[in-house]
Amino acid sequence: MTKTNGKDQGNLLIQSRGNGKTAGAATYVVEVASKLGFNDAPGIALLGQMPSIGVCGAREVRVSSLYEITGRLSHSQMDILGRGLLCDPITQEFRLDLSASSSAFLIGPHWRVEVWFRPQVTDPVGESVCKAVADMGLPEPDGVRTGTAYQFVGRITQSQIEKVVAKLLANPVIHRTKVAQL
Amino acid sequence: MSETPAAQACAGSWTQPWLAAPLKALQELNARHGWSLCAAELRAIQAHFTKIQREPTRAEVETIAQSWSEHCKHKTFTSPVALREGKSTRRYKNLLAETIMAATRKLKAPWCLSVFQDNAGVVAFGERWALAYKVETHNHPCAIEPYGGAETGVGGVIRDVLGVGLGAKPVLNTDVFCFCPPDYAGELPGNVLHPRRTLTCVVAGVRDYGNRMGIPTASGAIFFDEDYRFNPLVFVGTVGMMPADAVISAILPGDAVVAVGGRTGRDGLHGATFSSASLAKDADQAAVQIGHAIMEKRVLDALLKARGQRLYRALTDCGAGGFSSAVGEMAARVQGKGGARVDLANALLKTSDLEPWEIWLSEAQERMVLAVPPKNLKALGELMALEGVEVCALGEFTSTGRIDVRYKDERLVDMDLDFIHEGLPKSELAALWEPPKQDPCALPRADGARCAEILRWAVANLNVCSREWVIRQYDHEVQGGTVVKPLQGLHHDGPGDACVIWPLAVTEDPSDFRGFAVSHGINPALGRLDPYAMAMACVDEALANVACVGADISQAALLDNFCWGSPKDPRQLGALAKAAEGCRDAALGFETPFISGKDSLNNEYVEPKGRANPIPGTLLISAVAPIQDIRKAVTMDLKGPRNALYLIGRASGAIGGSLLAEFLELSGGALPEFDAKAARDAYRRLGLAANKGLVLSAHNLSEGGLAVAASEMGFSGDTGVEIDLDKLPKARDAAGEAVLLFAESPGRILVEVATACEKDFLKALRGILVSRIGMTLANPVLRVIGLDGRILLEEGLRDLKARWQKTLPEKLLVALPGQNRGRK
Repeated sequence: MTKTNGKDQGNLLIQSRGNGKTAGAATYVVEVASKLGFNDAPGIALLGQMPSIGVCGAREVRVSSLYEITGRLSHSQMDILGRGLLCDPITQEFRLDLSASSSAFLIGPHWRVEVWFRPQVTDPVGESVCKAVADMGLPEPDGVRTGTAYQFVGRITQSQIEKVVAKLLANPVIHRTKVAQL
Repeated sequence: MSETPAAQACAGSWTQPWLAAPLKALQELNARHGWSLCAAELRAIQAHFTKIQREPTRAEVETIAQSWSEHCKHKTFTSPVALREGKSTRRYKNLLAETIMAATRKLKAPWCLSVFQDNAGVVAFGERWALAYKVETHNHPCAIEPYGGAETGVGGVIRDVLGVGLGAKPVLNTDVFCFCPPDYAGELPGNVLHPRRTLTCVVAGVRDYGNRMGIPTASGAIFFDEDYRFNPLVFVGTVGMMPADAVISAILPGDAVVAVGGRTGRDGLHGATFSSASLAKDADQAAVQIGHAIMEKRVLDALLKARGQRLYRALTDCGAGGFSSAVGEMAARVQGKGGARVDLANALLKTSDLEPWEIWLSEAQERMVLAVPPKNLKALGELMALEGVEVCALGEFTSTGRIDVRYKDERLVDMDLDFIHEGLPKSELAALWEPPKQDPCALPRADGARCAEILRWAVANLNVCSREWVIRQYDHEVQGGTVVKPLQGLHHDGPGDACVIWPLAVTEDPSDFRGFAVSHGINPALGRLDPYAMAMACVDEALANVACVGADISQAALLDNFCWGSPKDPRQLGALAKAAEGCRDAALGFETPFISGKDSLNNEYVEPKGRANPIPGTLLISAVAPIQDIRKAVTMDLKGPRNALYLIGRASGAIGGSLLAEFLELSGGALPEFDAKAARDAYRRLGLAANKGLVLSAHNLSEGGLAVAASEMGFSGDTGVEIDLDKLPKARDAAGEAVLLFAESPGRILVEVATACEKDFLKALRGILVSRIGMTLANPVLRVIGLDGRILLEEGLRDLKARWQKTLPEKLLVALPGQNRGRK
């Protein structure tokens, strides 16, 4: 199991570790993406930008939002959160488990990059999610951190992906990143 | 992160003896902690503590460092300056007070309610209301983390307006940027972000903060030049409205020191002193913050309610320097000798591991400090709780003349206010101005084909082209008062001169049609040749722009923002002083006072080998002017065929700093003479004529001169233009047709008048140099009749518009829909 908030040099993916059966605080990662057929504007924009840094092999880019929620929430409560707070059920889908297959999330081989705020950086969206969870009548989480996942399909090498991360996606001053080939 | 000086400083305890330390040791300490204090300042601190016979605490040195920083004190601009120009030397005891502020003092405008003292300048808006306007820069943070830097910049200037007097409600945000061209292909050091990324992220930051706060972002400008590649400039501004009786605030001894809003964390330590430093290779990462617009919106709503009930006596924003700056400034305003006593153990914290001095200095965002009469504390707490805003009482204001800060029993700061606010040692700075050498360049002669080529190049120039991609990301409609929008014309895509706001959301009186117009003037290209002329031209551009929409410039007010290189370089300082003199003379010429200003110095990138790359000296002038009846406001698009075109002002043959000079690759070039008084009279009369409904459209001639302005008016209204160059009033030296078409002489406005109104229009502008230079056409072309009476050029306006529109998206590589294959 990969640790989500510690040292981040590993190339393994952050995995959802929710388990509603344990009584203590659990950490879940919710991923929200636009459904197939709906416009993924950040993905389109990024695809258009990549040739400017000399990375031309990408065929498709998808962008999804990540929420790392730590708290005393059960799996079914996380379901309520995903459906009622974190995603727009008309245009978006969410998953609590990376292996969950759905047309909104890529299945075939691709590169996956996750960009998270560094722990000491203020995360306003995370703070707002915390409050919103409590407003929904659910137990207020101990903490929420937000991030973004980018998925690249096409002929791209690791060094090209690292270039994209450095030049377009993350600022090491405030971000930490993970890159994985799936 | 742990390698940064700030982090080391956090970890190590304070055991530094000051009193006996040699200067070298102090300088080492200064560098390690990032205080940006100079040798004289370090010695002054040492002398002060030697006098009172004790060692300073860390919090005390930090407090002094931020109070004396460029950000808080504007120490360069208020220093004595000796300006050497040729063989003569002019001496200023206080550069700012004797130039820009002196002009305001001399003009004594009765409608200026608060100038150069509070967080923003305040002018009257009718009898019951007042307008507060503030523009400031957030350059260094935006260079390091553009999105967060832009957000916190916007958040900071909103809080400035919220923290003026008893608080004003923000009704408009403005943004002006100076960037390197986004398609820059040269080398950049590893820690400098590419301008394309800086631009997109800064726009996103401004967009997100303004849109989330529900404040329209409707006025701005972008200037591109490669010399901004290391130091992008980001100017953000806010206009707020407040009742006229909320302008003045007073603090009494015994009032509680209350912090409201966000909690204090370890974010953004040393932002104030950071502004005194130039960007070196290892910039201090602790100076970066992320904005929280929703929190600020809650603070704003709660404070405006509390203002209505008069629950507090004064407030200020917790910006650079955090509590130390906010409490320190307020303590100096307390009636009597002033002073404050604070226990930081009362502060609400994000994390419990903060050192006491960090609480005092933290620049965590979205916080305000209030002076609250103790009897109101309970009511204030209840009201804030309703909006979900946290409140903590830190201590009280006193009349001891001292600032006394503790953390439980530990004494952090115990100092004379006098020393903090007046102890800064001043020494005369040397400034030198040498005008650049003028190459005697022959004025270009060009035939029709060449003129058409220049025109096609000019409309697609990065500094002329459409900013629609940026503007459309901003919500410029929220609050429902944006009468004249940033993009104007038949298809809502023409480049407006100024925006007009009808602040109905604040006045709530639909029978009151008064509004105000806001615009900007910026011209660093001219500043390279002559900063004095740049200042004149910027003031002219800002005022001409507001006059174009029909505002009353006799009650306009100006704001200045200087961004310069290192003032330690006498040439840089000399140019700065010349620009300040230009501001003074322009203000006096136009009879328009400056009400607020800001400066950001040390905008230079020092290469590892020590070579400094300063930005071009950049002056942003922002103007705000009332408009009597927003229903009479004028936009810049031509309204239809067979109307007369009038030109106000005269073209000279001087093309220094113009687009034409850039096209012809002339580095120097003569500068146009400018008569501010004549321009003032013309703009005033134009405003009056617009108010009588005599003006169909008006557009200021800026980059690209007459040809570009006429094209923009034409393609925005889908109406053709015919101009006869022979009818143009010319200075003796303006002979060539290319010069007549593209010269950028200030003081000129192109006006469309219905033929039925021509007589009244000319009567309204009697005594002003105005000439009928052409007609509008049904066919959408720009037709220019040359001096010989033949058609010089005829260009399709739709083609020009397409060129004008596609530049920025192309350079930014903004993808068009449907390019993400496999996902349709």
